[in-house]
Order: sequence, then structure tokens, then C-alpha cells
Amino acid sequence: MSASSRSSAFEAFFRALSMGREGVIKEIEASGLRGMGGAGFPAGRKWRTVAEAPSEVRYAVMNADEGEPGTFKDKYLMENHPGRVVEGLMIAAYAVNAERAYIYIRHEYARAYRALAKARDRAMAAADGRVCDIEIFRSAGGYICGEESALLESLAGERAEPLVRPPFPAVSGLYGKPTLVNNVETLVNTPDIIMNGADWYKDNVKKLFSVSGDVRKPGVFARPPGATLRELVYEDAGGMKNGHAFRFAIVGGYSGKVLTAGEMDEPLEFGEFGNGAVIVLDESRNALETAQNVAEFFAGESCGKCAPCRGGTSSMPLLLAEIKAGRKTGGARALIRRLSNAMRDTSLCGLGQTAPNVVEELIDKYPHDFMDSGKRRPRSI
Amino acid sequence: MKYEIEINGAKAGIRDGDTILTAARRAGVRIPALCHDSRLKPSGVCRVCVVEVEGAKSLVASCAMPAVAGMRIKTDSARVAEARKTVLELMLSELSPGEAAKYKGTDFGQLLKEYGIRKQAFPQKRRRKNSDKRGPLITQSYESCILCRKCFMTCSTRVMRSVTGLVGKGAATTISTPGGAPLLETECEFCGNCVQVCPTGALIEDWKRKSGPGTRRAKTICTYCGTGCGIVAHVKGGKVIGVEGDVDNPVSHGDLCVKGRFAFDFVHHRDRLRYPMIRRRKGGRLVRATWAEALDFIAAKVRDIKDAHGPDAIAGVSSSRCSNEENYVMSKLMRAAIGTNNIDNCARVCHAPSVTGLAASFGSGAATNSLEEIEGAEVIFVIGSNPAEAHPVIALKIKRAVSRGAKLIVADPRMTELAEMADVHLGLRAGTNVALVNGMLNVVIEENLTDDEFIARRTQNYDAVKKMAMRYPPEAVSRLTGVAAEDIRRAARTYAASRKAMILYGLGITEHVSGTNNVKALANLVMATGSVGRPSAGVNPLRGQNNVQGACDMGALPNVFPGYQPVADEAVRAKFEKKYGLPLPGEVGLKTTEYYDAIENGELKALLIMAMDPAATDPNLNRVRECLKKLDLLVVFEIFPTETAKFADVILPGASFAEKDGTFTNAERRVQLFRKVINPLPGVKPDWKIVKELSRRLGYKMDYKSPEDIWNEIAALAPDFAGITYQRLENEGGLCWPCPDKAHPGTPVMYEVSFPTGLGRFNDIPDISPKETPDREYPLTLITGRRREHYNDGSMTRRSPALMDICPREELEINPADARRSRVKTGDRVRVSSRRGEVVVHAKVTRRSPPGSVFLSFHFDDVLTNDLTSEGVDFLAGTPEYKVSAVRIVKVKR
Repeated sequence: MSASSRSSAFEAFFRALSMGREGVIKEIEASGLRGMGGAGFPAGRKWRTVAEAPSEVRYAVMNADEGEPGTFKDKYLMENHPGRVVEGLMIAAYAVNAERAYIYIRHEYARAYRALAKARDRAMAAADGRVCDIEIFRSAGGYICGEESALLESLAGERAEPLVRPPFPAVSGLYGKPTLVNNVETLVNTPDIIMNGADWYKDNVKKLFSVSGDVRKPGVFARPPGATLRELVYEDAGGMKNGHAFRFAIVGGYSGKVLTAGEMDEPLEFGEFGNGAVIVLDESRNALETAQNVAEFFAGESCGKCAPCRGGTSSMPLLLAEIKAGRKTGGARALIRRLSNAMRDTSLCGLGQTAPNVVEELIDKYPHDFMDSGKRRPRSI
Repeated sequence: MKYEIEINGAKAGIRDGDTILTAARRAGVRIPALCHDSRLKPSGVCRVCVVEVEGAKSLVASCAMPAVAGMRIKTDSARVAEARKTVLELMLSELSPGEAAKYKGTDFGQLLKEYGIRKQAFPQKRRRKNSDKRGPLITQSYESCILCRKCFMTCSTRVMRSVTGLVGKGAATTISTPGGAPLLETECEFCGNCVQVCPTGALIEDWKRKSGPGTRRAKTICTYCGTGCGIVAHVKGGKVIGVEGDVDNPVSHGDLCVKGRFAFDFVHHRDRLRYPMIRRRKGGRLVRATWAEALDFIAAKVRDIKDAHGPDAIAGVSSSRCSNEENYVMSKLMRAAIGTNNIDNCARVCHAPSVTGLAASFGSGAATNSLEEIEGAEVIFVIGSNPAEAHPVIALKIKRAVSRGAKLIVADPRMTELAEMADVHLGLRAGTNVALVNGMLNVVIEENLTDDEFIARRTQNYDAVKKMAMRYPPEAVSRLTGVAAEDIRRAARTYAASRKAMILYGLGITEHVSGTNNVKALANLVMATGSVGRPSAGVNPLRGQNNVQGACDMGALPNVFPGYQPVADEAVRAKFEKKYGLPLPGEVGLKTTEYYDAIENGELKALLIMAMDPAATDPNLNRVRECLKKLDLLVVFEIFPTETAKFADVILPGASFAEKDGTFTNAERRVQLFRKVINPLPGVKPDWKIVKELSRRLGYKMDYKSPEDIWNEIAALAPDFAGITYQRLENEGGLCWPCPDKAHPGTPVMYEVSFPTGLGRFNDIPDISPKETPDREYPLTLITGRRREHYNDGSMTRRSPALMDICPREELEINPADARRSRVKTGDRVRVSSRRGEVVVHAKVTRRSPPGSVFLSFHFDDVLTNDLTSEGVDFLAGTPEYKVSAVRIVKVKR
């Protein structure tokens, strides 16, 4: 984050007003700002699509339903920089000419909610009608609500289920209108871009990493893309806890990837670090149990809409349990492979497509744990 | 075909709106799919239709992905096949324990077989438990449900109800009624459209659960109302065992209502008449006879009566339940073999005013537009019609239009289902339609909402009607009708706001002493706003019986030959005389409602009735019964022993619609072929054969080998049908007349260029009060009509046990205020009496009936509602005023 500590003046918002909608969108495009929620999609392109979609009514939504296990950077931003978060949304809502803007926040984030509510009231007073109303919507919860079409369905009062695409929300989103959906961290960057310019941002791109697990000092750390796992673990998070050795990390949350000790020095780029969650596990951890934990999570969070995800996520923990019990491990592994391929290739939304990632990578990278269970001391994360 | 894509290496054209799936199917490439239905928005949940698109990271659901020019697609690669197989295995693994063979005969079972899947390969914790909910009509066993969603999407987006929905999440997701209630306790109307789309048999018709699908399927047309839905009959062992909707039918696209789908039991019912019967002496018994005996008996009697009293002492009643061909030969029998124009059909008691009223206004007496256009309308004005009960599939079209934003105006004294969802409900006093519509015309004129160009160019006599309309300011109309002036204004403005404004009306318009005037009033309104002669507009009678349009079209009317060619016209008559080879009577015959006068004063001695039940359905039944008794000869062609058959001297057992070929013409003038699905039951004959054999005995030979022969004669004589052949109907799926030549595509929208008479005519019309209005002695207005589960005299639907489970008995609908006054509660038995008769019936207290009105249907033989109904008739068309009778009620003490 830039050093400037503006918070209540909403200076960037007023500058945005003076730049005009097109000016703001051009600046964001030029900055190369990318989505920080995991996909890394260029924000400017999304803004332009929404702004230019043929419709009388448009909406802007901030996705604050931070549900990916191991992620807490948005919580940090909303609790500590609520004004800037709101200002980012105001700039986006202005740029796309939104009729109404929403903050979709998970209900567990009570402190963040209170902070945002205050900041929103200040912002509305300061803007004095020059931007649309911002409504804060407390989600009833569910991992799937972080998926943007499911989020919008839920916001519209429907079951939180993802929709087939196309059409994309930027063309047909909330109530069938063009809707901008951006992550908290994406939007929080926009005031800086407006104040300092696109060129400044290009030299100062930062990503927030939520580092947790078997480290000494878990927390949120900002690093430019290209940072390595080693830097995050040993420089930012104070190294491993209890003198244990590093075994592996899950990067990008449960839908992300697994990095081994040998991969600690590879630079992490957009598309690799996902939303920036880094769950660090030490040598006492068993990969099979970790896989079971991840699989159980998805079995509980699949919305049940499409067949491969519904059947796949619910079957996966049972297959892993068979392996753990030491029965027909070869057959179970083969089924996991088939199931994973089908889920990745045919699931309706990102949840199902990515749900088998971590399990598969753990099997690939720690095959031993999946053949010979019970040798390591079980300790779950 | 503007652009191209490549499918499996071959080029394929694409059209606007194509998905990969639709483009592939058009190109003849099969892609399996379980959740896809072209009538529903793609949900993309089954993931079986996935294909490989070059450049895409994962596989793509072809049902939802738009086809984009240049796409290169593989539908059958190893990757695709493996993915589909795994998805299908995952689906099977979720269901209640069992092998794939369990799903044999379903779409799902077919795919399992194709992909070589036999057992549940993947472990699942929560395999669904068996929880069959059986009947009435439908069995739900969601343990076999793969959650394709088509059932509840059909219900919520096509039937516009929400009987079921999703419950739970993830693997625990299931489909359920609210709280798991039985269907009878939900708003389910048992149309079964959800059942038809189920790919696994989780929803299944009771008949299919018991006997499986038919060994043979045959497309034909529903025999109930005038919508003309397409059905597919399942046949096994020579019997119709079930019915499904015909997805290819241009009217219904697979939709059906509870009757069309489920009320087919009558075809093989043990009560079917199976042999002719003769009553040789008046007062004697009906005894079994051979066909030769029966027909000889009739022929001898007819000859005697004709010799003694002349041909006009004999009259025929043709049937809206029979085919066009049968109606044609029946009227030919009367005109040529007997020599009288005393031929009429039951349109007389329903839509005859539509014929007279629309002909007087536009020059032709039928619906101006087609039913398909309802879904494209911006405004729908339903007046005197309750399609949700009487024409359920049309009601679905209306509801879908409303859900897409069309405005709905409903004029009905009762709070019908459509009235509840209307933008404006005009709850008029029964029988005040003319004043109401004139009031709307007044507003249209006063507020300059008229289409002056249309009026000037296409119509005549506007000034006189304008002057008339000025006598109906909304405030005055409000006093006459009981409708608030502001509602009249709102309705008029809403109606006039769009030229895509479609009027749909029913018997609430025609069954009044002012029936014809009501129709003319509506025609005035559409001409004033220019909403006629264009798509999704016009004035459209919803015909009550499957072939009531056709019966009229075929000349089963006392004044016209087929195609509404007047019998009084010398040139027309000459044409028919030449074809028939003998002189024909030129004097207009009697209408059925005039038959009774003629019987009473001794002029009419014999009546030949083809499939109609006047002793249950005509008004003032006491008089009808006396008249039928007085006849020298009453012949009834029937499939069941009806009320009328009790009075017959000869009963001839006819064949049902499933046992013969022919054509029906629905409410939108669409001639559709229906097919012989099974052989006639032993002992019965198709009505056209009965007529043919009777005609021969009367000395006039009819040389038809098949209904098609008859149709060809009709097409040769009536220009409106000249272009219609069986071959075309078979290939093109129905044609709307006029269809003057074989290259003509038919005419869904009438009068686009001009009216048959050149200019449309505005008609100055008086508003006349109903014949009988409530008074101190008989303080309530009785309105009659239909219920969704039953049909006409009920002889067919009451023979369906399951329909009787859903709607077991007649109930008098009465407003809470009136009920309180008479100390009547729901379930009490009440005696309803009028000046003509009485019935005893259970009461149902409901706000559907407005204060001062009660409602009865005429479906039940233990509550002969027409014992009560008024003797008033429309002056021009002779149609009885079923809709307004004065009655009183008394609670019956136990």
C-alpha cells in the first residue's frame, strides 16, 4: 500500500469525478490493475465492459465474502482501511455509472461490517449525491457465495448458485443488468492509482498475502508479484514454528496449488498465487490427512447444482478414507483420478473445477503418504 | 445460415441464437443431454452435453454455449467420452442403491447403456432413500432424481406455478414440495408437464409405473377443449394405456392440462356403448339390436315421417366432438338424403354469437389471430373467459406473456385465477358486458387513443358508433356495471396503449341474451384502436369443444354450407346441387334452440343427434326432457349412456376419437389431423360410417372409402379449405384457414390487408339486460362454467377415477357474505332453486364468487345445473343465457 494515509477526505474520489468516467477507466486500464480475488483478470477491461454494456441500469458490487480457507487479507483491509475500501468502490461505481453499489460481506466479519458502515456513511455525506448509494449486504454464508454469479444470485434473493456463462455478470449480472464485481483488494488499489497515476502504480504493484499455518508470525504481508514462498515464510512470517522443518504449503487457498520445499524459491506470479493465501505445513503433517481435510471442506461447500461437483466432492472424502483404511488403495486412486479429471473438465463453476487440485497435487507430490498410511503422527490442520 | 463452425471436422452452418447443441443437432450430430429442453432456459447442470472447443481450457456445456463463427468443436473425442462417462457414473452413484438396469426405458437409462455403465462405481455416503409418493395420477420417487431441474423449471417458468423447488445443499440437495406436502395439498394442477420432462422416472405417471410405456406410440390431437393440443398416445395390447404431450405440435409444444394428459380412461371404460339398441314402442324398453336392424328401423321411421309431415319435420344435431368429415357428412345427410336445412350443432349453445357477431363486423366469423401469438402480445384482455379452468394450455400462454411483461386486463364477475394476477380486474355485474366495453370505447375516443388512420381507411359507420359511445361515460357505465369509473379508464388506457393488444373471450361473452352484441362491442373496440389485422392482436373466441370451430366450418348450421356459403344463395346452392346430384332446400332451417318450440307445437317429429347431450347441457332441462319425450323418433349416436340417451328410440354406439381418422379445427382455425390410434372397439362404428350407411338406406348413396375422401370433397366445395390436403397436414402439422390453394401457407393472422367485405363495420348496439335478474324471491345470480378437471356433461372425465380423486363432486361456490346470510358453511348441503327447477349440492364458501353471485359447473349428473338455467336466448344467434339465472338457496337440514 502506498504510504499516503488519506482516509476520510475521499480526495481520490473527487479527483476521479474531475477526470470523468472515461478518464477513470482509461487510467485503470493503463495501470494494468488486475483482479486480486484469484483470477487476476484485468480490472480496466471489466470496467469498460460494464460501462459500455447497453443498459439503462448497471450495478457495482464489492465482493467481500472472503471465504477461501487461509485468506484474511480483505478482513484486514476492511477493518483497518475502511475508508479507502469504500472510496475504491465509489470510484468504480462512478466509473461504470452504477445505479447502486453493494458491499457483499460475509456475516462472520462483524468488526469489518461496523467499520465499513461508518466509512460508508462518511463517504455518502462527503459525496453529497455525486455517487450512487452503497448498500452493505451481509451474506448468510457459504463458500460458493464468493463465486461472482452465485454472489449475485444470493444478492437478488435467490439460492446462491452459480450460473452458466456466457452471459458474464459484466453483461448480465444482478437482476439481469450489467454488473461490476471486484474483490476488496482490487478496489482498494484504485484510489492510489487515481492519485498517483497509472505509471506510478505499474512500478508499485503489490499483492497482499495471507500467511498462516505452522509459522511463527502469521499475518498479512504485501509483496510485489514475483515474490517467493521462502521470502513470505522466512522474511515476513518469522520462519517455521517449534523448530520444525517446512514440508509443503498450500498457495491460493484450498482451490490453489501445493508447493514443496524444493519449490520455495520459484517466483510467484499472477495466476499462481491465486488470492494470495499461503497455508504453511511442517514436517509433522500427513499429506493424506491434509487432502482429507480439503476434500471434506469441498463436500460441505459444493452447492449441489451440477452433477460432477455434487457427486465428485461428496465421493472424494470417502475415497480418501478408503485409502486411509488401507483398503483397495489402487482402485480408489484410479477413481480419484477419473473423478478429478471429470470435475476439472466439466464442472459448471470454478468451485468444482478447482476442488480436486490440492488433493491431486498432494497425491502426486507425496505418493508415499497415500500408499502407506498411519506411519506419520496424525495431526490435522 | 450466415456463418460456419466446424463440428468433428465437418462444416456446419449457424443461425442467430444457436448454441453449440442446437447447431450440432441441426447438422445431424447427436450430443446427449439430460437437463436440456428447448422450451427452457439452459441451466447447464447435467454436464453430459460437454464438448471440446478448440482453445477452451476445460470442456464446454454445449447446451448453454453460444455457437460463434469459426469455433472448432469435437463432440466425440476420447476426452469427451471419458468425461461424460464419469459424470453419468457419478449421477448413478448418487441414486438409491440399484443397478443401471433400473432406468431402462428412460433417457437416463439409454445413456447409461450407451456408455457401458452398469453399476454404482463411486462411493457415496448419502445414497437417497426410497420415498415413493404415489398418486393421484403422479408418482414422485426422488431417490431416482439426478437433479436435472427440468421438472420445477417447467413448473415455474412454463406452468407459472411453484409446486416444487430445491431443498438442501450439495449432496443433500433434493426436490420437494413445500414441507414435503402431498401434491393434492399444494397448488399443483396435475397438468403433468413436469412428469413428461423427467429423464429418469423420478416423476412418473401412475399408468406408466404400472404398465410401462406403450409398445407403440401414435401422434394425434386431444379430444377435449378447443385449444387443439397435440398428444402422443401410448398403446399396448390394442389399448390406449397413456398419453403424453406432442412436443412437435405447433399449438401446444408438448404442454397439456390434467384432462388432456390423464383423462383417457373413458376410451376403454366398461360403460362404453357396444351395440345398437332400439325402443320399438314408445314407453317400451331399449333392447339390443344389430346394426342392420337399427339402421333399417331409423330409415323406415324417417321415411314415414318425411312422407307424412315433410322433410322439415326432421332435424339433425351435429357434433363439436366429431371430426370435420363427420360433421360434413351429417349435414349432407340432412340436406341431401332428407332434404332439410334443419341441421345445427352445439355451437348454438356456446359460440354461435361469435359467428354472427364477428361476421357482422369483419365479414367472417372466427378468431382473427392464432394462439401462438398470445405469447408475443403486449396487452391481453380476457373477457368472459376463465382459461385457467376451461383452456388451461391457453392460460399457460397468457401467464407466460404476463411474466414477460405483458399487461393483463380481466373482465369477469368472478375472481378467477387470471383475475387475481391481472393489472386491472373489471369485476362487472353479470350480463353488463356491452355497457362495460362501450365505456372503454368512450374513454378511448374521449382521450384520443383511437387509430384514426385505420378507422378512415379500413372501416365504415364509425360516426354512428362514436355517437353511441358518447352515451357511455365511465361514471354512467360504473352505475350499470358496478365497476369503478377509474378502473374502466385504466383498462381502456392500458388496452389502447399497444397495438399488440389481443382480446380473448369465452362463453361469458356469448352466453347472454346480448351475446352477439357483446361480440360486436369488442369488434368496435379493436377497430377503433386499429388492433386487428396484425400479429398478437384482434378478437379471439376461445372455443369450448375440440371441434366446435370445425362443426360450424363444415356447414352443420341451418343457414350455410361448408365454408359459410349461404344456403339461400342461388349460385352457391347450384354448385352444391351439381356436386350432390339433386335439388337442395334453399330455406334456412331451425336453430337447436328453436327445435324445442317446433317440437312443442308439433312441427318437429324426429331428431337425429350425433354425439351431444342436450338433456344435460341445454338450459331449462325440465322442458328439454318433455320435448325429447314428445318426439316420434329420437336417434342418438353416443359412446356412453348419457342423459339424452335415456330418451332415445335408437342408440347407435359411436367410435371415440382414438378409434378413427379425421381432422379437427381448433379455436385458431387450425385444421389438424388426428389419427386412428387403436381399432374401433368391437361393436362400434365411426360416426361417418354410421351416417354413410344410414344415407344409403334413405336412398342417397355416399361413396366414401375414408375420411380423406370426404375431406377432398369438402376442399373442392369450400374455397377456404381448397389448399388443405391430408398430405399437407401430415407434413406441415396443421394449417389455419383460409387456405385457398395448395401453395398457400394458411392464415394465422386474418385481415392484414382487407376484410372479406372490404371495410370492417362498426355496429351500433344497444345494451340489453339479462332475461332474468335477481329479485326478492330469487336474490342471487347463478353463473355457470367449467372446472379444470372435468369436461362438459362429465361423461368422459367422470369415468377417470384419478380425476375424481382430485375433483370428486360439484360444489356451489358462494361468497362469505352470502353464505353468512344463509347460515351456510363449506361442506353444508344446500338446495338451489330457480323458477325452473332445483338441485341439491354441497357448498363451498369462497371469495372467487363475488357477493350476490353463486357459481356451479354442469359436469356432474347428480347436480344437473341446467335444471336451473334461464330460458333467455340471444336474439340473433339463439344462444341460451347460461351465465345469468336468478336463484335462491336454502340450507338442507340433515
